[in-house]
Amino acid sequence: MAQKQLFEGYGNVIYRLAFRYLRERADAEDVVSEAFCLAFENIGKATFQSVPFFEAWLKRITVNEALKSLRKRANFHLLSDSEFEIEAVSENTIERLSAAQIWEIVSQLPVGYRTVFNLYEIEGYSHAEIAKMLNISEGTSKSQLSKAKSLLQKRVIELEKDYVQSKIVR
Amino acid sequence: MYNQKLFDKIRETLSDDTAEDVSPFEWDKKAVWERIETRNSPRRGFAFSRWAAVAAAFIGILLLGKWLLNPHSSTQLPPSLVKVTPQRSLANPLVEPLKVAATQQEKALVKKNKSYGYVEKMLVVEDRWAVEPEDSSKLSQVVVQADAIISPQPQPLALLEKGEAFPRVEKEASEAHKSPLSQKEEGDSRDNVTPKERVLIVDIDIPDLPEKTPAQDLLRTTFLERFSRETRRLRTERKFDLRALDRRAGKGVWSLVAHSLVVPESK
Repeated sequence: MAQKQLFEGYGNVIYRLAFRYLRERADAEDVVSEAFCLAFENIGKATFQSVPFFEAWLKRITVNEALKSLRKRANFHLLSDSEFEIEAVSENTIERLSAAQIWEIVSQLPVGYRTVFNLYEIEGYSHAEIAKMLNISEGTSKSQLSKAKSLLQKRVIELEKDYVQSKIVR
Repeated sequence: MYNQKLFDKIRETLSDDTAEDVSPFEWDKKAVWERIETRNSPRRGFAFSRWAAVAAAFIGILLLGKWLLNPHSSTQLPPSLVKVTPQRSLANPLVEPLKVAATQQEKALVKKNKSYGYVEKMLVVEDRWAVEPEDSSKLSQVVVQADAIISPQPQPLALLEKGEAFPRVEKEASEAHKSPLSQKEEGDSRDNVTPKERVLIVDIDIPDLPEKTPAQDLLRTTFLERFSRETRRLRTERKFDLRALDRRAGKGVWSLVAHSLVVPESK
């Protein structure tokens, strides 16, 4: 069955994408099923020149569904008042960062920061597109991204401090 | 850009679709697929239509039951029908002459419309005109005691079945058409307390058919003889044709074909 093959091939990718936005396994699974159902319903209407086009289309559907889910849960709010000091992160620290740690610090970001960071840095949307998708201004999108990056740096530095302390204790 | 390397690494890590060593990626793939399969299944639509059919049948049964339990409430009187008010008292029954012949026809009508309690006006008028003769001087009268009319307080439908209510329908309208004999009977019936049913025996002269002329008879006989002779000849010829074909073709597929090809010219 072609649908089953598509699900087997793209299921993990789509789940990771949904999880990046939603941080909850059950919500991510809901978004995956919703995205695949929509894709199967509309796959006959679209024409794809190659596999990457289909993958991009499927990811776009998933992102839209994830944003819809965030809005439905009514916890999609943007932070505006906190300011963070930007500190330099050493290259050693960056090299030591594992994938699991990166996933963890990104998923711990507040919803608004995380969403804008994901949309801009990973999916590659412009601030204008993000503003349209989230119904915010472009300036807000930019400031949310800036704060998200600052917070990420702060968390990475904290991780580094914990690492150094654990070394000293040993 | 400041800390660009850090964000590049974050981007690469999060974009890597093939990484398998990250814990959040454990998810119930099978359950999600079952959910998708259930939602995309064509049986889902079938199940809905099946339930819709069951619901429609249930509503139909409810409506039918309601109608069966209370048929009178939903029956509306059409404009072509006239409601007949049955005669309550039999103290002064009005039995018109010439009704006996028409009573049986009216009975059937009343039984047919028993659940409605209505009688069609047009049919009642037709009965009256169909039976009444033009020449009332040839009528003779027989009075018969009717047992069925003795009931002191008959129900309206029972009255209708006995044909008692019919004369009331067109009483005023048909005054001009009444025969002198019927008017006389009305006067008699008012004096007589015992309900009676009158039967009339009518002698009607049927005019004789015009006499046939000998020329007409001769023409008719000649035509019939010629027609029957011609028909017999054609039938015999056709029979011989069929026998000949049977002998020639034998029993098989050809005989069936040959039979279908028989025409009067093929001799």
